[in-house]
Amino acid sequence: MFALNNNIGKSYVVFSTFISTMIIFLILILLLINSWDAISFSGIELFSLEWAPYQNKYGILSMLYGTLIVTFTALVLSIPLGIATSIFTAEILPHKYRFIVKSLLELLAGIPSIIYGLIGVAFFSIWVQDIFHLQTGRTLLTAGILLSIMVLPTIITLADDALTNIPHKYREASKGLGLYDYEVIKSTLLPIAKSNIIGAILLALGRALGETMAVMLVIGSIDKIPSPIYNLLTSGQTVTSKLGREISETAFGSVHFSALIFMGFVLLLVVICFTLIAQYFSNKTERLYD
Amino acid sequence: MKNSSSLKIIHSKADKQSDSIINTEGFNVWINDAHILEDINITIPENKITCIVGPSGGGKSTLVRSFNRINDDIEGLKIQGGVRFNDSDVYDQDIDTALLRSKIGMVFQKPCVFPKSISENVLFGLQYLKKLSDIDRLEIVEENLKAVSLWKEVSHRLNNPANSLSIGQQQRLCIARTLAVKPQVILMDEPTSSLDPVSGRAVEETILKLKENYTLVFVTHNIQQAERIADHLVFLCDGKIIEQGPVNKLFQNAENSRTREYLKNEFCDC
Amino acid sequence: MTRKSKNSFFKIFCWLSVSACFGTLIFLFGVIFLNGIPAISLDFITSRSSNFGSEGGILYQIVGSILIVLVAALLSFPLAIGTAIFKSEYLNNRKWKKLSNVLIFGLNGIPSVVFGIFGLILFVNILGFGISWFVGSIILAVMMLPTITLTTFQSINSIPVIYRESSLALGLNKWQTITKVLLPQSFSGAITGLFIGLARAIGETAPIMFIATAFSGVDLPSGIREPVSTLPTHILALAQQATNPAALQNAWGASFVLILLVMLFSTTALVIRIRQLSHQRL
Repeated sequence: MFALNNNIGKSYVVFSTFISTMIIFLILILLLINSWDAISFSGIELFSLEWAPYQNKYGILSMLYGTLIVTFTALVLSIPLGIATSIFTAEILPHKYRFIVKSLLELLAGIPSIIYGLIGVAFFSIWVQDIFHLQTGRTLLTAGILLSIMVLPTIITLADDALTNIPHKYREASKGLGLYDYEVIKSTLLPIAKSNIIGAILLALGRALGETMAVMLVIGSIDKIPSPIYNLLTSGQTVTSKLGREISETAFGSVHFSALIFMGFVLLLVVICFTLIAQYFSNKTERLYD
Repeated sequence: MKNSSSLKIIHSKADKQSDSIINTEGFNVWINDAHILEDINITIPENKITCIVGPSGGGKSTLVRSFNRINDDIEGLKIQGGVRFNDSDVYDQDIDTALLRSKIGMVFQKPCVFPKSISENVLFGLQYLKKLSDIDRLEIVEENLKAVSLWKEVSHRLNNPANSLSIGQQQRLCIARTLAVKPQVILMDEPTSSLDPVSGRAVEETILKLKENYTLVFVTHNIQQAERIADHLVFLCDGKIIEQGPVNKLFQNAENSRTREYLKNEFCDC
Repeated sequence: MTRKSKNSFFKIFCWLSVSACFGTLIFLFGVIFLNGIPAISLDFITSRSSNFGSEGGILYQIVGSILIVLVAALLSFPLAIGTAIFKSEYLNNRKWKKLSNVLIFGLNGIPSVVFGIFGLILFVNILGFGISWFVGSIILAVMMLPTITLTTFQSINSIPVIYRESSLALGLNKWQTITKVLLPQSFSGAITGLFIGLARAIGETAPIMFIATAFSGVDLPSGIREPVSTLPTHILALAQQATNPAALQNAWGASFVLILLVMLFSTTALVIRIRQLSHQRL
């Protein structure tokens, strides 16, 4: 009776683990199979600029570029802000206020992305439109700003953890040598926390690449590379906003559908790579903390 | 005329020698509601080794850590009274604590090398004080590693990570790093207590060598060690100074019976 | 620039950054609350929407959202517990442990819209479920899986080995040890993970918008193969009519209710966590 229970228990946990670990392969395989039509139809031309389904042209490059530039903008804004804020919460703020300040900042992470999108539509895009005298405020810049706010909590929380995990003795040893707080942070703490902070940034990068709703609502959805290429004040398109807008309007099984799936597959591979590299960096320094 | 001026110099030098480099007057420390140090009046003579002895938990660490204000970060810390260093008030509002700490260096109980190379560790505090050429760097590294008798052991691997050293070597590296900044005073908070006896002896010998050029304040709960290295002894128990004076006097002829008892039997009933 | 002034500039920069973050936080919550509260009334949360959502209330959206995430939690929880137990108690090879970490973190990193596509291909088209709230629950369950698994794993794994050894020494077998000794101690960790997962899932839009929801004219579902409307997808539909003030007003109202639900779940998680920590200290 006991032995039977033992076996049922074991089968249950093995079965659960099998399902939870196989899902990721199932997703990858299904996406690959379904993008096969587009790969065999267009081949290398999938990586071209023009997306025009009615002419059977399925170039995903402008969407990839949009994803890249929006993410880049978001990180340029959020990395300095996030790291400086984490330095504040970990090193400058007295310890007793830390919990409350961190909890408040983490509230930012709890706001669903659709609400960010709504606020983006109702405020940010209008501000961008007014400040730069544009015809529409739905631009790459608007999406980048919104995304930078969305990934801030990730950077702050993880960078703050990385800093507070450093044993106190390193701070005392550096201060004992006559270093100013700024120098202690720059020369001692940041180098020690470096790989964890890189991990945090890569994780934020992964989030930014895959974010859909907020971006979709404020980006303007035009499948073109901006001209000039660095012009953030025009509408654009990211992989995710394209998928969000178009996939439910396309027939399952068509080349058009398959090209969209291919785009999702490329995004998925990139994001998974970054997530795993982030994981590698975050685990790297643990040995130091005796 | 000439005579008198030279006399004056000698006189002032003699004066300075008898002078203390650090002294406290009516110094009190509380952490939250605990009264850690009560009414401390202490004088640290220049270019001597002052040992602060006493049972653990008596406030020895808190006292030395107050001299360079490394205690400032402790939450609930409250101080009263003054610490004077070279006639300036350490707890003055305008004092630059970083500058103060480059004049009053510190070696901690547990060696704490930075995750960098050996030579980078030696230069770590100095890099901000002055611009250094590569030749300067080599000279400074060599000079300070020699001062702690570490040069022979590590001269062939200066670029290796510092945490590849043994724990005793790491502690001597920490001393070298402090010396490189050229402080006037070095505070040492039980620097041998986390080392094995052999490494502990090596550190002790290093400390004796330093006495010519530096003022050392050395905290220990090891009475034999204090007897070996101290010139001047301070006995601190339960946050109060029981007795202070030249080491011979305290060991042979202490005024206070509790001092005699502690130095003889390592027992204190304060 | 002297060292001292560099130090001061640096601190000023940190102060400015943290002020910017707090300014943003106050702005975002201020906007949601100031626009949301006037839109809320008893009528708003107890009546159904009409005229593409720009009129009427959000009753069905609230019901739809809660239905979809609760069923997702029910599907996800047993799988996550099983996986966590396997990872902590049966996997003792370091390589396999690493691999399981890679797979779980990989799953956690998948963009939400990709989950939506996955659901669309597999359940809606290949398996022929059509657009149904239950498919949405399955997909959200998959998305919650890594969160619940990892928090449960951490709390099982942090139980000292001595408990396992004592239990085995008393003659209990492995499964009895797990159910009688380990699970009771780690249960609150699992529940914490569950509520964190719920807080995230209820705000998700991208994974369910093509597979589980319809934007207008939805009634309460009478079976598992029907679509529902949810708060996030409702907000999406309204945000796209942002030029219509009535629609925008309802979007703020729906956002406010959604934020309250998210905060309800996440503070529950926090309270359980704090209670558990204080128990451990005792």
